[in-house]
Amino acid sequence: MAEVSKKSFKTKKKTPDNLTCELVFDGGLLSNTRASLVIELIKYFMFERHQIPQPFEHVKRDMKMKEEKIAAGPRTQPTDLQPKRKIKSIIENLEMLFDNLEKSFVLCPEISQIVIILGGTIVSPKETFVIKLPQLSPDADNLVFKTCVKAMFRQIITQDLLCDMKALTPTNMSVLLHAPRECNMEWFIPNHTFKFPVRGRFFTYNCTCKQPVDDRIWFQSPVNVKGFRDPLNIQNMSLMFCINICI
Amino acid sequence: MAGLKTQNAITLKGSTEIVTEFFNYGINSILYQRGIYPPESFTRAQKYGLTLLVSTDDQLKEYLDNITSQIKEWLTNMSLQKLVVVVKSIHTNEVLERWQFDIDCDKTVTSETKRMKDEKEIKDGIKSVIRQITASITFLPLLETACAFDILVYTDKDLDVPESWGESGPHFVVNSEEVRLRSFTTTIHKVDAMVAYKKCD
Repeated sequence: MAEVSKKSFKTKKKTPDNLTCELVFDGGLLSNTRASLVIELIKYFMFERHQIPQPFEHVKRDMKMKEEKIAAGPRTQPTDLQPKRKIKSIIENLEMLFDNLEKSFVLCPEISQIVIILGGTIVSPKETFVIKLPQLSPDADNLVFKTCVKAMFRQIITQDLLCDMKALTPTNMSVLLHAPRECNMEWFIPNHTFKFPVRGRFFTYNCTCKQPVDDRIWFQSPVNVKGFRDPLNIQNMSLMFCINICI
Repeated sequence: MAGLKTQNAITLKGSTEIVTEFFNYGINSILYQRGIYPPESFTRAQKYGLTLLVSTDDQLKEYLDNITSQIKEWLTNMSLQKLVVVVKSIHTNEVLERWQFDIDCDKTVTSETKRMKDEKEIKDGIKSVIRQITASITFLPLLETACAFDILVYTDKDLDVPESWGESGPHFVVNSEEVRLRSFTTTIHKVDAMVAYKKCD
């Protein structure tokens, strides 16, 4: 017993806490809807995990208002503008990411997973968020984005995976897509060596679509055919045949 | 060491201050997030490690000050049960949203009681609730009509109510969906948040 505990002490690895949020949609998700949902999730993670002080749209609106104020007002010292430049650059980078995510889903609707990594590097992150998308279902009734996004966030807030998480200081964010090798991804670069990190907290958002209602039912034959064991009695059969002829 | 002990203990007065302050920032956040007042009538404030928006409208500030001072009294005498922010259409008076904060008061507490609770832990709890109020705009239906708000307070029965406060119905949302939000506790007062909104077809 002592030996086991000694061994476990030596090889002790910090196992990531793995939490899963099940997100169910009442219909199919078109590729542009998938892209928009992923973008909204990134915005949500950034705000909820303290990477931006306000929701993304508010940050953007505030920045725009400030720029208009600066343009209208007297000249400002360049040093005063430095933090604003940094925020502006972050907004621009995020918008570039969102734009390319949309394009990627158009090029490759088969994207099955999106990994969002918060932390210094993708090998040793602080937090990893995996969004698993459902398979494409051409037969399903597709939902409009507005319905999907409301249903998604309602489920996210009800399940509240991130409620006990401690504040995260601003850090790097990396986004990876899992797509077929032959897809013509333009902006995202292939990473052949990527493996899911073993460090940090791990959150999975598993999206599933309810299958279209199958209106088919089983129909059973009204006659049961029973098997038999004894070999056929040829003599009797001939006799029967004879009788039939006689009639 | 003595200083550390003082910082970790909370009294009824301290708890009342914290919860009242939360209501002030919480109501302001709802009014801003839901667009009840124009965004330009709000200013930023740094609180709980968050950037919060508080109204600069004098009339609204006065109205909220009156409410919070009364709430403070009801929190001190442990008679506050619920605080509800009702959002309704100006044109039809229909209730569209109902933000409910249930307050669980520990009635064994007296003005002399001191409970051990880390102030940071309480503030983290409040931060978490306000963050969720902010994030809830992602699933709440768009308020397409001009809206006003009312504040309802549920107290214990047989309480002397100031003249400026009138009795009211519960203002429930017809055909609603509900989402339970996070909660926080000071160990003397516990606050549970919830939002009900009109179901979209």
